[in-house]
Amino acid sequence: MFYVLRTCSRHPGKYRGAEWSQVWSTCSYGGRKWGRRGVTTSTRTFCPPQESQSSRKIQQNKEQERENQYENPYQSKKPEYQRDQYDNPWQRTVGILSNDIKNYFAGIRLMFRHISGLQGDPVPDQVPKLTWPSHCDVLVVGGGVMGSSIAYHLKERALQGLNVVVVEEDSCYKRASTGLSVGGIRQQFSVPENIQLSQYGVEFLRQSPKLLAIEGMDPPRVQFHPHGYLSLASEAGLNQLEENYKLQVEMGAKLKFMHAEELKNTFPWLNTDGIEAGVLGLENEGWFDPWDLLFSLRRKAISLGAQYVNGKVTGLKCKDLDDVILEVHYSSPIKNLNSAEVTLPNGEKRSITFAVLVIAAGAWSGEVGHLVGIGDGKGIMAVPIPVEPRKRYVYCVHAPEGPGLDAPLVIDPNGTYFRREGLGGLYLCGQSPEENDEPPIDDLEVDETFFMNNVWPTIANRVPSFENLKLKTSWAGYYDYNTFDQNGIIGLHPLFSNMFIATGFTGHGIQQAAGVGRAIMECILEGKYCTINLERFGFERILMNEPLFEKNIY
Amino acid sequence: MMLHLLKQVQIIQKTGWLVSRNFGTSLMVKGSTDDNNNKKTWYYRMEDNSKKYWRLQSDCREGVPESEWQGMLHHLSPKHGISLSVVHALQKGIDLRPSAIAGWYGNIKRKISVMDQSFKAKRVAALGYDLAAAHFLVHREGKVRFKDAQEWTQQDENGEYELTGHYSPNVFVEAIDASGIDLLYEGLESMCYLNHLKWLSVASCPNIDDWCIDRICCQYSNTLEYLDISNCVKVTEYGIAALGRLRKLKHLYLNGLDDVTNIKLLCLLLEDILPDLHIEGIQYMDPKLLHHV
Repeated sequence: MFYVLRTCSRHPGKYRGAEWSQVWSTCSYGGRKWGRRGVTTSTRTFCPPQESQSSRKIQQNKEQERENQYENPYQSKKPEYQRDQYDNPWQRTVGILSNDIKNYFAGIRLMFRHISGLQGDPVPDQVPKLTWPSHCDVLVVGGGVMGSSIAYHLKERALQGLNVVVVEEDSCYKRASTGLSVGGIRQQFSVPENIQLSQYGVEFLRQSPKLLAIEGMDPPRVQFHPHGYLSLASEAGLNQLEENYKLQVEMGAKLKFMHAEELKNTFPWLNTDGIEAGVLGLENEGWFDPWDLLFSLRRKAISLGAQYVNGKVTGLKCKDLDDVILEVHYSSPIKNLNSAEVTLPNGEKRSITFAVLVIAAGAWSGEVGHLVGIGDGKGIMAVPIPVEPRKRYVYCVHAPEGPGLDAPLVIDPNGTYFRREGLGGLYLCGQSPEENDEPPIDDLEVDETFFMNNVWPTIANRVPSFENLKLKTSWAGYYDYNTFDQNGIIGLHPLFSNMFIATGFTGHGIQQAAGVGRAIMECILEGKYCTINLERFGFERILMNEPLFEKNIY
Repeated sequence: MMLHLLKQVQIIQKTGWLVSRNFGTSLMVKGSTDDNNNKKTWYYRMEDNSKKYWRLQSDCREGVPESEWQGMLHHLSPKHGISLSVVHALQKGIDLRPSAIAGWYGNIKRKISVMDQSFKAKRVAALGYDLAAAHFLVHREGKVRFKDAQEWTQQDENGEYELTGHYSPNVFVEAIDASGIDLLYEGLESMCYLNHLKWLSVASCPNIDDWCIDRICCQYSNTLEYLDISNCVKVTEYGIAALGRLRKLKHLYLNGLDDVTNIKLLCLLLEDILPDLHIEGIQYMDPKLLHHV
């Protein structure tokens, strides 16, 4: 508490520190709302009071007048229902109590109507209206599986102590990588933290019917197919496969190392020409339904109180923190982001003031970074967030004589993968193109010649019964491709005191969503990683040019 | 002799690994949950990051540096604030609805059973994998049959049973009947590394779901010949599809699982993959259709 009061006063030369983690924990007292418009204490300490109370009220009225001229989805036309948002605490109390009394009598009226059979459809007045979240504690940019996981973990831990808003551009998730992904989960990585994140991901999926259940609704069904991954290696990759296998087994993954003869015996449909060995996942590997995970996380986050806003973040404002002393510099380049400008689908621009920003925008995180100048400045600010969209195709083929029920997700040495889809002889397959052969990213149109020239020859070579297959359908999605080292970027940006990045997973984001959500929650609420140490994934490795390559990326 | 025994006890205590009495050959087995603190790690564990990372470390974040001013009440301010669990509990509120109280009590019971059934390294270190699994099951009213034995080992009317309490080699569990136990996913971990298990029944265990099938397929894929998952309502089509991983499976009992989507097609597909398989409990072969052929 004393810390909070001290940070409010402005004394040059006093230690202020980026000790906001401590302030955070004192601020998330249950339900305590100070200040204006239901804002919690945290915003009060970070944004210095700029306007007096009365001028703010006048501005509010002006805004209301202006907005009443246009159709306003976010603000109710009748000011009476906003009585509980007045600044004056006495007025607010009277407003809340009178609203409660009104609702009580309205409830009784409803009950009588229902009993007497007069009540039919719900009266529009009783449907709760959306209010624009002009202030929040945590603003998550991007509502895909990563953003929803972050929102879920934050709300699940802090309940009403944190006001979480997720800004998602497209509620249908047409371009989001989540829905277009193949949905595999494996522990066969070469970076230990990746293995740990996947292991937590599997545990989360297993417990999701309990964790993500909402009273009165169906529990989530993630539809996990426990078939395992089979990574094949040619002679050149044999050493790397053995090294990776040893690490994975040491981390606790259940795998089986098989040489070519054993592979041939176990999988008679597999052609082992050119294959020296393979690693088969025995437990906790397979594929699942990413849509179900996304919507269960989103639904649960909303039920816990997170608010999803349909809009696009088009501007970010920051201010310099002059009262922060750094040990090396006398000037302070550290900035504090304080508000975001959101463009709604109807073109309207509104702003949200926040305390912490999390960039989980997937393939478009580089653009969000540019909004605040990351990549356009000098020195550290010259390094952009190295995430860009890269298009990848997934083809669905029909092969009636294919591998059958027991086929795992097979990964060829050149990166081509295929897996069974359903029980009717359908298979999904795909391949990552070469660096200089990247398809254009303007739209999500599929190139079938890529399948004919690259994918089909490989899978037909690997599984002879794929020679007479028929391409049924295909789709394309974006990888949030990290051009630096194709692994996730997780953590604070060094020059911003309140901006987290959680993006750049390059194709294995869906498996790590649960783990990364929990990690960001720990960073925000506790100030450090508590369960899985993801410090090696920080943005600093890009500045220091120390890539964290995954030795088996597909 | 004494020194040898002492060394064995020390090894067991230190590593939780089991070394057999035969000199020179050691059963290099490892429990699934490793409580061994001497693992070599080169990824950054929480305690070690200060030594290996080039960033300024958290020492200067812990408290106020020496040269800076501190108020007199500095020592009274909490270092890390209120614990979040306290805040979380305060905000969750007390829900006194009967269903909520039943749910809370159910949660507690479930946590207790998870703790009860989870893998215990000390049990395995003392008994070996097969006997540990036998003790685990028979204590919880299950039945176990050893290799080359005719009778099932189970509790009698007084709840007593006969099982050796010391490790002995060449004792292998061949059949497990866990249909009376409410077996959980964590409980299956306690039955790991049973290299001679041929017969398994988890019929009517309400908590057996697809993940448990995954675990069964992982642990017993080489040897299991008979599996009974009757009346396990949580098993879905995806779990049954995964049963193709049990290469030696000969008998599969699926009574009471008629509600699973596409169960008949799955039975036919499983028969395709596993040639010796015989499925009972599902009427997937319609004799009338065979007449037309």
